[in-house]
Amino acid sequence: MTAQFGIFGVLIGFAACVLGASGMAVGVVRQRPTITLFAMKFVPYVLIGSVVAVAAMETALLRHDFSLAYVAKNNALSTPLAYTIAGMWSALEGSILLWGLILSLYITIVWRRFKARRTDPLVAWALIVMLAVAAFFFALMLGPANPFKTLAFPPLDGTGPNPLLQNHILMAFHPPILYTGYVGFTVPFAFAVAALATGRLGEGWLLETRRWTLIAWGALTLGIVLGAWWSYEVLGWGGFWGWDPVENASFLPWLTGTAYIHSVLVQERRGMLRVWNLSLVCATFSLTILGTFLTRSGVIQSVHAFSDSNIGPWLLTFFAVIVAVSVGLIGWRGDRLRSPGAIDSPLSREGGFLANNVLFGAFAFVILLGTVFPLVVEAWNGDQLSIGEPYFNSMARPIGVAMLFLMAVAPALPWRKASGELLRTRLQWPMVAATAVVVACAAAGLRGAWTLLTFALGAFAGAAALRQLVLGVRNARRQGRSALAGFIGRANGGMVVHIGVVLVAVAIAASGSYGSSARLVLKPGESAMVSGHKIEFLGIKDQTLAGGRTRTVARIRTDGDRIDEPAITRFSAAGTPIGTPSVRTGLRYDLYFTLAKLPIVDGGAAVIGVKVQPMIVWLWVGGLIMAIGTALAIVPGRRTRRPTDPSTVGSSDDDRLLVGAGAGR
Amino acid sequence: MIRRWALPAVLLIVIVGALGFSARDIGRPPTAEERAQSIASRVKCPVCNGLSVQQSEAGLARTIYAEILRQVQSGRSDAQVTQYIVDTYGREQLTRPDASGIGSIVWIAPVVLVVLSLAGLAAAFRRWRPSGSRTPSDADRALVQRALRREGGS
Repeated sequence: MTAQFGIFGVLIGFAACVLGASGMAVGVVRQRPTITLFAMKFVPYVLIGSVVAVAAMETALLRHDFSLAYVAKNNALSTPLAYTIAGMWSALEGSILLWGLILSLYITIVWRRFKARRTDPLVAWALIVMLAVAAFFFALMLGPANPFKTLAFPPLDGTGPNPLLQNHILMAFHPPILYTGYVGFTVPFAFAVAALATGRLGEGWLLETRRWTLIAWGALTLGIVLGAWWSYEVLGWGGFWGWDPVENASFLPWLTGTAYIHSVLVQERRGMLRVWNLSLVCATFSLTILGTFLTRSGVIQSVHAFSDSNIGPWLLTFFAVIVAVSVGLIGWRGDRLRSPGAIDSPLSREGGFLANNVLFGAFAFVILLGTVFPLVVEAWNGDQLSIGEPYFNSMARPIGVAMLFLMAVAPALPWRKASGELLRTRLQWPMVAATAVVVACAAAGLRGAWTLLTFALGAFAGAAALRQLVLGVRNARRQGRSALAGFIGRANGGMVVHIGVVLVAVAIAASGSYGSSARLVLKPGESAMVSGHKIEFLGIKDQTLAGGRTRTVARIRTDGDRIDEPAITRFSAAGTPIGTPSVRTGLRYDLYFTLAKLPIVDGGAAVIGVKVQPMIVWLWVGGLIMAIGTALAIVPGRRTRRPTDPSTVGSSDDDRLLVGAGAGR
Repeated sequence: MIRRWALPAVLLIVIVGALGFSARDIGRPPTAEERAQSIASRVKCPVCNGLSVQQSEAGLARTIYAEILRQVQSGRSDAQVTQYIVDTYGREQLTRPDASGIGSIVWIAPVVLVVLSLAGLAAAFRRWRPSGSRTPSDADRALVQRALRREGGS
C-alpha cells in the first residue's frame, strides 16, 4: 500500500514538472503571459509530489515494511530510530528521493520569492530549467532507481543499513546538508541558462542568484567538513580525507563554485568575465551530476561494473545534455557576451580574482584528472593504474600554498590598480604576524619547510582577514552602527570565511606533518609509551547494546587516569565486525585509539592502534567558522548607492577613495 | 624610499631564513620502519576501499607491510622494494603514478594548463593595456563630487 502511495507521489511530481515546464515554455515562446501564469500553478504540486513520496518511504521505514525492496535492504527490526529515519539516504534509490525533495523545495522557494515577477521571461525560463532537472530525477525514480520496488515474498527481517552508516549520528545530518549544497547549485545554473535564453546577459541574473549561490556553497562546505569528521570519527584509520572518488565528487563542484563566487564580483563591479562566469556556473552544476554519476553508477570501481548498473547511462546522458546545452547557448550568445571593459593592471583586486580562478580551476582540473584518468586509460587500452592519496597530496600542496598567499594579498588589493606603497602599508602587520609565527615555530624546533610555509602564510592570510574585519568594525562604529555590522555583508562575511579556511589549512598541514602512530601489542596490564603518554591496556570486556549489537571493548588507561574504550562492534551475529575508534579531543592534539585486533586467547595480547593527530580539532572549528561566515555574507549588508558604481556592491570604504572616474562602460 | 621598504625586506629575509632552518636534516638516516612506512603509504591495500597498506589493519595489508619491512631491513633499496610490489601485485597497486609512461600525463597536464592560462592572462593584459588618458579631469571630479553629495555622501 505504501509503495503505491510513494509511486503516486513520484508520478504527481513528474507530471507537475512536465506540464509546468512545457506550459511555461509555450507561454514564454508565444509571449502569452496567461499561459505562463497558468502553467506555473503546477509548481507547488512538484513539492507535494515529493513530500508524498518521501512520507511514504519514511512510513515504510518506520513500520519496517519489508515488502519494499529498499526497506528490506536498508532497514532491520533492530535498527535504532534515528538510523531508521536516516535510512532514506543510506542507499542510492533513497538518496535520489532526497535529491528530489530538496530540489522541489528550492523550486518552490524560488517560485514564491519571485511571485511578483512570474511573467518575467527570465524567471519563467529559470523555473522551466529547474523543473526540467526535477523531471529528470523523478524519471530516475520511475525508471532505473525506483525506491518503491516491492518484493513478492517479503522477508521477516531486513538486512539493515551498512554497519558503517549506523555507527555515528553524523550520518543523520551529513547527507542532507551535503545535498542542500549539491542541489542548490541548480538555482544559479537555471538563472544562467535563463539569462542566455532571454539574451538578458547583464548583471541581473547574477544579483538574483547571489544569495542562492552562497547558501548552496555554505551548505556544501559544511557537508564536506561533516563528511570528513564522520570519516575521522567512524572509519578508524585516523585520517579525515582520503581523496576517495566520493570525496572528490563533492570537492569538485566546491572548487568551481568557490571560483565562481569570487569571479562574479569582477562581473558585478566591472561587467567583465561574462562568458567565464556563465561557464563556471554551468561547470559547477554539471560537476554535481558528473560526481553523482561517478559515485553512484559503480563505474569508479572498475569500468566493467558499468553494465551492471542502469542508472549510469541515464546520469551520463543527462551530464552530456547539460554540457551540450551550456556550451551551445554560450556559443549562440557569444556576440552579446563580449564585454567592453578592460582590466588595467594585474596588481589589482580584479587581477587577484583572476589569479584565484587560475588556481581553483587548476585544482579542479587536477582532481578531475586524477579521478577519471584511470578510467580513461582502462577504457582505452585496458591498462590498470591507480591514482591515490600520494598524487593528490603532492599536487594539492603547492596549489594550497599559492591559495593561502593569494588569500592574504588579494583582500588588500584595491580595484583597478594598486601601488606598491599601498600594499606595503596594508600588508605590513600581516607580514609581521607571518614572521612571528614562522620564527616561533622554527625556534620550537619544528621541521619541514612546506609545513612552516603553510603556517606562515596562514598567519599572513589570517592577519590580512582580521585587518579587514577590524576596519569593517571601525567603519561601522564611525557610522554610528553596532560593531556587529562590521561582520555582516558579503565582504566582511567573506573575511570570516577566510579565517575559517586558514584554520582548516593549518590543521591539515599540522596533522599531515606532525602526527605519529604506533601499533601496540599489549597483554592486559601491560603498558607502553607513545609520544610522552603512558598507554596502559587494562583488558577486554564484552557489551550487549540495543538493537542486537554486540561490542567488544578494550579498556585503555592513558597517563594513569583517563579511560578510553575503542571497540569492535558487531551489528548482527553474522555481520562483519566494525572497528569503533575512541577519540580523545584536545586543543593541541587528539589521541586516537583503535582496537585493531582482539586477543586470540583469553588474557592474550590485543593490538591497539594509537595515533597522535595534532591540531585536528581546528579543522572542524575552521569548517564551522566558514559556515558562519557564509551565513554572515548572506545577511544583507547596508547597500551603499554610489553613482560612480553602477552595480553598487557593498565594499570596504577604502576602495571608494581609489575608485577612479566612471566604471568602464 | 629605502627606509620604508626596509621592514618588509628584513621580515622577508627572516622568514626565508627560518624556513631554511626548518628544512635542515634530521641528522640521521631514516630508520627501516620509517622507510617501510613511506613505501607502504604509496601501496594500495588490495582488499580495502581506498586505504593504503600503511593505513590498513586488514590481514593482507599487514602481510604486505611485513614483507616490505623485511626487504628494507635486508638492505634492498626503495626502488627495488617498489618493483617487487609491482611484480607481485601489479602496477595498479601503486597509488602514485610514475613520472614516465602514460602516468606522466597526470603530472604534466596540470602544469601545462597553469602555464597556458597564465600566458592567456598575460596576453589579455597586453590587449587591455589602457589607451589614452585614464586620469580623470577636473570636470570629471566635479561631476562625481556633485553626484556623491546628492546621494548623501555615503
